[in-house]
Amino acid sequence: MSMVSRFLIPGLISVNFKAADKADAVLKLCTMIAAKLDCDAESLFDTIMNRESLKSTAVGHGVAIPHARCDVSDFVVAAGVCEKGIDFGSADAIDVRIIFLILSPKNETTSYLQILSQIAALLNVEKNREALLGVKTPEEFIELVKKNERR
Amino acid sequence: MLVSQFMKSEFRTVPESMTVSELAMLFVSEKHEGYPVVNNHQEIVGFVTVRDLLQAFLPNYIRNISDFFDYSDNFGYLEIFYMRGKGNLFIVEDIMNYEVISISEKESLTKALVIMFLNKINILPVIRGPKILGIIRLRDIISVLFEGS
Repeated sequence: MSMVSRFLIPGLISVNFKAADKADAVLKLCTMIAAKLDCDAESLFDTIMNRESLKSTAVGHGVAIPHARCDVSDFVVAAGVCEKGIDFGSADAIDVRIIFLILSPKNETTSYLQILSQIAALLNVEKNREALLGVKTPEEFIELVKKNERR
Repeated sequence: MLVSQFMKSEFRTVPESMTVSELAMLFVSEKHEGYPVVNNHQEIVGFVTVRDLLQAFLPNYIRNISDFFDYSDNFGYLEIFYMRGKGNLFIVEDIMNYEVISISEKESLTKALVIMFLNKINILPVIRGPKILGIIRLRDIISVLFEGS
């Protein structure tokens, strides 16, 4: 089973994330990834926003999991925890405060869906969401995910 | 015998934005094994099969075993988030194959049969450029070969 925590690195987690709106949030996370992977942030942004245009990845309870398959060699996960909520067009109309952005290699559908499901399962639990909203450092964020992800 | 003579011009496509829950219900109700996936311009962008839908439920360890194994009796969190109502996070675009194996309507039926056998598929979209004109299935070829026999 592919575990989410395996793909979390401190440099791709912002525990004091700020964005004006959904596009700005996605662009900022893509820019973080692009700096790490040395690739084009705008291309990643377009890929994610194209997927978002088909159906919003806001899953409710202030959580969004933007994701897409693209030309990456391994899974990339970036995350942002915001103090001020962002409108992601969620069905429950609650602004998003926890964002996990996932990029997957095009041919890794099985692990891709498993990772997405794991994140959704983790964030479906209220105490996990509250704990993540209270973290002070990316390392603390990773530890929390590691401790609570389902195996 | 050309593909254009025997392809089915009436067929179902599914949009990229369809949720996997809706797709699953289509598979159950229509008993098809796959659908061409189209974008807003009705251009083919992928193909999705029953296997694509179910592959997330395969345990990773199947690659390491060859015979009987004591399999888990449930699918864990995937049961909740992929199968039972909360599967709306996933849409067809998330699971479809981007590389569509297809054929032109001007090709021969023999070639269609060869492509399906070599790629172990039962349905072949018939395309002209980005547009899908129809589908040809193994069972259509059986009809052609054995009709009246």
